[in-house]
Amino acid sequence: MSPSYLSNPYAPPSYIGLNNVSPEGWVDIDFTYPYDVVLQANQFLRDQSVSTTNDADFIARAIVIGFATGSFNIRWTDSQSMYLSNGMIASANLLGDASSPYPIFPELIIPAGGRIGIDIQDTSNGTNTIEILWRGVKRFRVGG
Amino acid sequence: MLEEPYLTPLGSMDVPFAYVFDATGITDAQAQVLNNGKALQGDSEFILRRIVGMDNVVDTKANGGRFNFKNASGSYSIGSPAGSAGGVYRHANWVVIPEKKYPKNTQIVFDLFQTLRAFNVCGASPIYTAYIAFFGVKRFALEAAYRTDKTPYKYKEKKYTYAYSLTLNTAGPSPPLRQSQLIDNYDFELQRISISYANSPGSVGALVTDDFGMTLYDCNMHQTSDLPLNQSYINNGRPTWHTVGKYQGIWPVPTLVYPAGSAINFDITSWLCANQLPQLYNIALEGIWRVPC
Repeated sequence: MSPSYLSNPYAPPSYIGLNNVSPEGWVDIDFTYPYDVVLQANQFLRDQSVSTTNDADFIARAIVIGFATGSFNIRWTDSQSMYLSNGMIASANLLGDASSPYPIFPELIIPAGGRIGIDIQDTSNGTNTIEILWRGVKRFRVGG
Repeated sequence: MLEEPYLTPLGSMDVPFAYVFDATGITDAQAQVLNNGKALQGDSEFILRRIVGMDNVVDTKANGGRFNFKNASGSYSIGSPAGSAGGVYRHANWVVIPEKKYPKNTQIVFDLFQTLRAFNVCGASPIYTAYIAFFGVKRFALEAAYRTDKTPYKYKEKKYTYAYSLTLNTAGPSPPLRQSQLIDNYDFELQRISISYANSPGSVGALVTDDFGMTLYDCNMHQTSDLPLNQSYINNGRPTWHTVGKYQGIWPVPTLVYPAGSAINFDITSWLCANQLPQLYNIALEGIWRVPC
């Protein structure tokens, strides 16, 4: 490998490039799992899920609030239904947008054919159209 | 957490480049336009790092403006949630992490949902500014690359900015208007382009509208984009001192070196209406002088 020439100090790392950190024998491909829902006023949906596909493990690295017409609370789980917080988190505390996602650190592995569990509650007291994105990578085994 | 400098594969060299999809000819209010393709130029592979301008091509999120795009293999890069038209709601600046490689002679394929083109109002004939920019780098083998990085003398670095005055007196859509900033004294590394109005009567303050497109050239007169880039996509100036532009523009990445005696050349394509003319702009070409020592 050779250093990239003339890195730009004004640019964020994602613009400059991030080194490949796939484990040896695997390749990571950028992927996003969206969750779309329309909540009625104050509606509380429990045990919703986003299913991951069977082709590869998913490594979740960030959350993006893709769209929301009002405020909401959310709590989510890993694929073994283990909550990642002891209570609901207000949407205002999840800061991510598409150009600066809210990091999940350290990353979280969701196995192929697994699920991300979600509890979600409207707090806007109105109809609330929401899209949440889990951004990360699919991890494929290198052939041959 | 440690961060290390980005490493290109051994024997390769990256050149900043943006592929631009011209969506000015699509039809508005289509529920879906699938499998649009932006073909690569065929001289190198392309490393995609972000997609900019979807908000200029599809309708608002509230009205169902969505998009998706594909890997070089043809598989989708974003899942489609159940019950949705497909893809995800539009974003002005979609960062691709990790970067995606598109091999030579392939294309970037993407879907649009609820199309709606952005435009500058010009009476009965609007000037459309609906372009999608795929930012990244062209990756060449070292022996095939045309990039100039080296300065043939020992130097120290000193911050320097060339302030370029641009007067637009041509109504759009215009043919490209060549601009040139001479690099005097020392080699210059361009790191940032910031554009505002020139603070003259009628042309005051930050520039947030797409008054024109810009095509930047390297010192060897190679384009850094295949079509003009909306100025807002590369403009690193801020709408206000406290807010960041929605496209978070910064160009070129990586930086470009212009040897002393050469010039920073760029084309301006006017998208202004006749009744907006003339307009005066201040373009800050900011970077580093390589001062001999």
